[in-house]
Amino acid sequence: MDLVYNLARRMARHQADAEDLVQETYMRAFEAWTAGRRPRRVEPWIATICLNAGRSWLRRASTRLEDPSDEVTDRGAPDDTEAEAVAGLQRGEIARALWQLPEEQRIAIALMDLVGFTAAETAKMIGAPRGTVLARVHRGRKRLALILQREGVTWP
Amino acid sequence: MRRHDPELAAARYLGGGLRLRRRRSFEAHVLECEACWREVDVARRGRSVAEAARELAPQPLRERIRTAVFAVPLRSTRRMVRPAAITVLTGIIVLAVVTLVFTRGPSAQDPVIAAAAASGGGELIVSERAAPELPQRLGDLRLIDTRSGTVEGLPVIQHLYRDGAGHVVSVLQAPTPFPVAAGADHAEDGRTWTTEIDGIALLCAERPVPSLVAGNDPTEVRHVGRLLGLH
Repeated sequence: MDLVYNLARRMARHQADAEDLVQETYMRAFEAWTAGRRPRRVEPWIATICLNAGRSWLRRASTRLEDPSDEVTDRGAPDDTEAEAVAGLQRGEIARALWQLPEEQRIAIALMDLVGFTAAETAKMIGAPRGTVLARVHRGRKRLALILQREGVTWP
Repeated sequence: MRRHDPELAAARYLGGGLRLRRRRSFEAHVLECEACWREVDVARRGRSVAEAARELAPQPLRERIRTAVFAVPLRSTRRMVRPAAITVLTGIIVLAVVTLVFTRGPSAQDPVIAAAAASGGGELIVSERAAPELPQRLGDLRLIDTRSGTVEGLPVIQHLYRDGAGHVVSVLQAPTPFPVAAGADHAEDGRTWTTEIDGIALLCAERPVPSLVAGNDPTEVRHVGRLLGLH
């Protein structure tokens, strides 16, 4: 479930929307599975379902005005230790920086760096040539590093 | 003569698609080329930043989805079947059985081997985090994750390694020997074998513990086998 959750968090801006997207993905996958559509590899299959479901979320999100104060934040649990709280804050900064990337770079980074798919697998899932995926990920990574450097955020 | 494009070269290098020889050549070039070095450096930093954003799905969400999935009634498969349909269906089943008997034969892979190859040297499906039992570093490779679970009923522990160029190598260990892949090349002692399935190189050994190494670079897979003393 972590795979779908990490992907959904980069497709839906709000935590609640991301959780709804995870649920929608699993419901679609379950329906397909019980209907006999069983893939050879589950991970790319379920990620593709999440991408398809997520596209409609992104379309809906783009048609409504965003309140910047209501963006994705990393919510630490009340019993977090100090180190975990700091790590949580860093993750929050990184999450905000990821949302400053163009959608195609953010999704490619989510698929390769957060979920762990190869460039070839990512290319197949998003229907783009492998070279295009590599360029998107590379530019996204550079931009992400520069955004956080500009904002003075350090990470381990 | 090819145009020197540091961005493209760094993207290919970090994308993990370069074979060992081209990778080594680019690594030697980076030491002398300031532009390529900058490209690789900043993108690597970006990658480690992105990886730090990885999260675990919250427990309440897991429970919510489990409840939602179990609440869905299973699709009914009972239908009225006409006699003509029965004839057609019987024909299809007979054809499928005949095809299976004649085409499966020695090329059909054991499910464990198929699952290891299908994972592409990456993470397998059913697994939980576990304490590492292998070294943190194997040459250029760094341990990034350790999981335990079962693959097609076989209990395994999986160590995932990755190098700076993004190549991933998986080392699976099991309490009993792994099945032998169809079409595998056996070593003289008969205890190790290697093969390649859908571009994924596999190396299997029984000692010191039954192990199956998988990755998309055969040289790297063999190298890991040597470093772990598999025989």
